[in-house]
Amino acid sequence: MERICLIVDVNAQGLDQEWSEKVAGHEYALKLSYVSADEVAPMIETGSVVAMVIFADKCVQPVLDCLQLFRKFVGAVPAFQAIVSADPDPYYLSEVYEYGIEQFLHPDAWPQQLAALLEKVAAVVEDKNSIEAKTLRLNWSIAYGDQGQIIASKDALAEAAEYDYVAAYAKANALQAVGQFGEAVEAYRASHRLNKTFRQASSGLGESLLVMGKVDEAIEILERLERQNHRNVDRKAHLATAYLEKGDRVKAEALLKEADEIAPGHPRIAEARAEILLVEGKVGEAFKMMDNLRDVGPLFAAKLNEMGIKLSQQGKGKSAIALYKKAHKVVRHELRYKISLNAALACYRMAEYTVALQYLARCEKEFGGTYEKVEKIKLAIQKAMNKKPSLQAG
Amino acid sequence: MEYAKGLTPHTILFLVDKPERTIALGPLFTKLKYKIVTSTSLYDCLRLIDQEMPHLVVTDSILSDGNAGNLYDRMQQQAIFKDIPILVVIAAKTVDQLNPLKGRKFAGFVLGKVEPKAMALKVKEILESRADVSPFFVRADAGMLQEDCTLATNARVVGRIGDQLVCHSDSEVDPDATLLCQPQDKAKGPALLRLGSNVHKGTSIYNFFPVNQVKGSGKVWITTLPEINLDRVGKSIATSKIIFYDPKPERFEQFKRVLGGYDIELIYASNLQAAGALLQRETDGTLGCVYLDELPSNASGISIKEIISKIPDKSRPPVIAATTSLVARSTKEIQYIKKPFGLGTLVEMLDAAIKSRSSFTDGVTLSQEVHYQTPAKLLGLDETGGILQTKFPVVIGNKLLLQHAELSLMWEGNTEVRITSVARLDDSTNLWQAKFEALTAQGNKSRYWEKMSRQISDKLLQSS
Repeated sequence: MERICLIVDVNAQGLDQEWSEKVAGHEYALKLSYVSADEVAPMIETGSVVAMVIFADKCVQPVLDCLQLFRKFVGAVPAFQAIVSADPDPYYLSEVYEYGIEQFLHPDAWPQQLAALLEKVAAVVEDKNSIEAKTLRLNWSIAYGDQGQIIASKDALAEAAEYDYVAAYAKANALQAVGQFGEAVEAYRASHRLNKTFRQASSGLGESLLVMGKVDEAIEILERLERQNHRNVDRKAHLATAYLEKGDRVKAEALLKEADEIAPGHPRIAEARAEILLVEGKVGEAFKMMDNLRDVGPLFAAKLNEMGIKLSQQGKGKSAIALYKKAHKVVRHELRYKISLNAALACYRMAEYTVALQYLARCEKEFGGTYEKVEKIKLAIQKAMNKKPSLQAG
Repeated sequence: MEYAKGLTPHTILFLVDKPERTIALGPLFTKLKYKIVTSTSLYDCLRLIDQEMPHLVVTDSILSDGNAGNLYDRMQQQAIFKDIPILVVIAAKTVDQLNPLKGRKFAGFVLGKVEPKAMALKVKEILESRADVSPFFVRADAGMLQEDCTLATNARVVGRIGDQLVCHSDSEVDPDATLLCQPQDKAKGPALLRLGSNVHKGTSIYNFFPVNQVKGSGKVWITTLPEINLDRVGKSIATSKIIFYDPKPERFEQFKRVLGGYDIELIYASNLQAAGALLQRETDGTLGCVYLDELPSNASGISIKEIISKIPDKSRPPVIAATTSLVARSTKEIQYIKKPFGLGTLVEMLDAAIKSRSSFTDGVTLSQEVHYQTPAKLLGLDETGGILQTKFPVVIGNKLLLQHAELSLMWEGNTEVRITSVARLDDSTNLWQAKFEALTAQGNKSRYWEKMSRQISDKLLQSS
C-alpha cells in the first residue's frame, strides 16, 4: 500500500497553487497529498495516511478536527504530525499539545524540514516490528471495531508497553475498546508514568476512571489538565458530567457554557447534555438530542448500556430496545458490540428469541470472533426455545 | 562531496627575518580562520614543516641561513611535503633576490612591502582550490575506509531530579542530538536520550535529559532511578519563578496562564532593558531562570548579554533565548531554543533550567557507568584528524570516542578525538560537519600522517 502524508491547507491562502513547486527538488519518503480541511476525513479513512502536516497560522477548530481524525484513524503518534506556522501563540501551542503535537515547521523552511521528518516516519512505518508500526495496526483495529484483531495487536505491543508511553497508551485504548476499563486504567497510568507530559494518557485515564465511577480521582486528573489548557471542549464535557455525578449541576452547566463559547455546537457538548438529561431521567429529551450525536465515547456508551439494562430489568423491554437502536447508531465502532449484546439480552428477557439471536449474530460480527458471553446467551436461548417453542417471537 | 565552509583552519607557516613582521597580519588572518606559525630561519622552518605540516609556506627570498630555493629543494626531497605550496616575498627585483627562484615552481610571488590585505588575497587565491579541506585530506571512500561510524562518550548516571535524568560526563550535549545511552551493566536496556542540556558546576559538566522524552527499553531503569536527595544536604530546589521577556503583552498573558498550569510563575519584562534590570536585582539565587523571546544583535541585545556575562558563574541563573536562527549555538551563558517550538520542549527546557539551579551535586549517591552513542559518517582524514558528518551540531571542544573498526586498528586502539570546529553544511539540509583532531595525531604531524598514508596505501593495495 502506498503510504501518504497529507498536506492539509487550513489557511487557504494559495498553498494549492504553490505547494508542488515548493516541494520540487526535494525527496520525500512518503507520497505527498494536498487536501483542504474538509477532505481530511475521507482521505484518512482510506487507511493509507500515516503522516500529516497542517498549514494553519491560527488554532481554529478545523486544526483540532484534523488532529482528532488522525488520532482516531491513524493513531496517537505525535511524531508523525507537524504544523506549519511561523509564530504560534501560547494557546495554540497548548491546544495542539493536547494531541502531543510539538513539531512546528517554519513557513520558509517547511519543504526541507518535512523531507527530514518523513524520512524518519517512513523508516519506522516500514519496520513492521517498530512500536509505531504496531501502534498503527492496533489503532486501525480499534477504529474499525475489529475486536479479535484488537486483542492480537494489543498482545504484539505487550512488551513495549512496559517502557514506551505511546505503546502503553495504545494498549490502554485497546483495553478500553474491549470493555476492560479496570485494566485500561492501569495501562493509562503506566503511560502517564512513562511520560508525565503526554496529556492523552492523562485524559484517557480521567475518562476511564469516570466510566468506573471513580469520580473524585477523575476530577483531580481532569482539573490538573484543565489548568494547563483551559480550551479543550472534550475535557470540559467530561468534567461537566463528572461534576453532575457529584451533584454539582451549577458547575456542570458553567463548564458546558464555557465549552459552548469555545466551540459552539460541538458534538461533545451535545453528548454531555444528553448524558445529563439521561442521568436526570429525562429519557425522551435525551433521545431527541442523541439524533445529533456521532462517535460517542465509552462514558456515554456505558451510561446508555446502564440505562438500557435498567429499563429491561424493569420489564420495559421495548423502551430498552428503542434506546439500544439509537445508541448503536451514535457510539464509536468499537463500542457497538456491547450495545448489540445488551439488545440481545433485552430480547431474551422478552422471550423474543429469534430477534435476540439476530442481535447476537451482529454482536459476534462486530466483536470480530467468538465471544464467550454470546455463547452463553445462545445456550440459554436454545434451552428456552426447547422448553417453550410456542413462545418464540417471529 | 560537499564540505562546510570554514571547517578546516589552514595553517600558514611564515619564514621571515623578524617575527614582528607577521604581527600585523595576525588580526586579519585570525578573522579569516588561518592559523599562523612563524619561523626565522631555514633550519627552524624545516623543523616546523615536519611538526605542523602547513598548508602554505610564505617565505622571504633571502634567509639568514639560506634562501627560498634551498627551502623548495629540501621540501621536494620528501614526498609528503613536495606539494605544499610556497609563496615567496621578494623585497626588491635584484639579482640576489631573484636568483634563488630560478627553475623552481613556486605557487606565487609578492613584491615589495607586505600589506596584510594584499597578502590575505594572495593566500586565499593559492588555497582556493582546497579551501574547505586540508590539502592532505583523503576522502574516506577514496581510502577504502568505512563511512559509518559511531561517536561515543563516557558518562555516569547520578540520579534524577524530578523528571530530569542527571548524568556527569566529559562532554556537553546538543539539544538537537538523539543519543543512545548504553549502560555498562548489560542487564539494563539501552535508552534514547534527547533534548539534553548542560549544567556546569565548577569544572564538572552535568547533562540533564527530560525523562519524559526518553525512549527505548532503558526507560524501565531510568524511571526507577533514585531521586537525588536534596533534602539530605539541606538544599532545596530554586523557585519556579522566571523572568519572562516577550515583546507582546497579550502573548505574555497567554504564556502566564499556560505555564501557570505547570506551576511555573512568570515575572514580566516588557523589554530587554527591563529584563536586564530585573536580572541585576536578582542576587539571592531564588530565581529559576530567565526566558528571552528574542535576543537581537542590536544595542539592547548586546547590553543584556553584557549583564549576563558579568554575573559570576555561581550565581548566574540559566538564560534561555528563543531564536529563528538555524545556526545559533548554545553557550555556557545562553541556551537557545529554536522557534517555532512546541509547548513540551519549552516546559522541559524551563524545568531543566530551574532544576539545574539546585545544589544537586551534594546529594549525589549513585554512579552508574554509561556510554552515550550517536551515529556519524566519516567523510575523510587529514594530518590532524578528519571530518565527520552528523545530523546535529556536535559541541566544539567535546572529547569523544570515534568507534570505527579500521581507525581503531590504525590508531592502535586510541580512538579519542576532540571536536575543533562545527558548521552546518548548507541551509537546505539538516546536516552538520565537524572537524576533529585525533589524540594520536598530537605531536609530530608528519610522522603521524606518514604512518596513516602508509596504512591507507596498504589498504588500497590489498583491495586491488
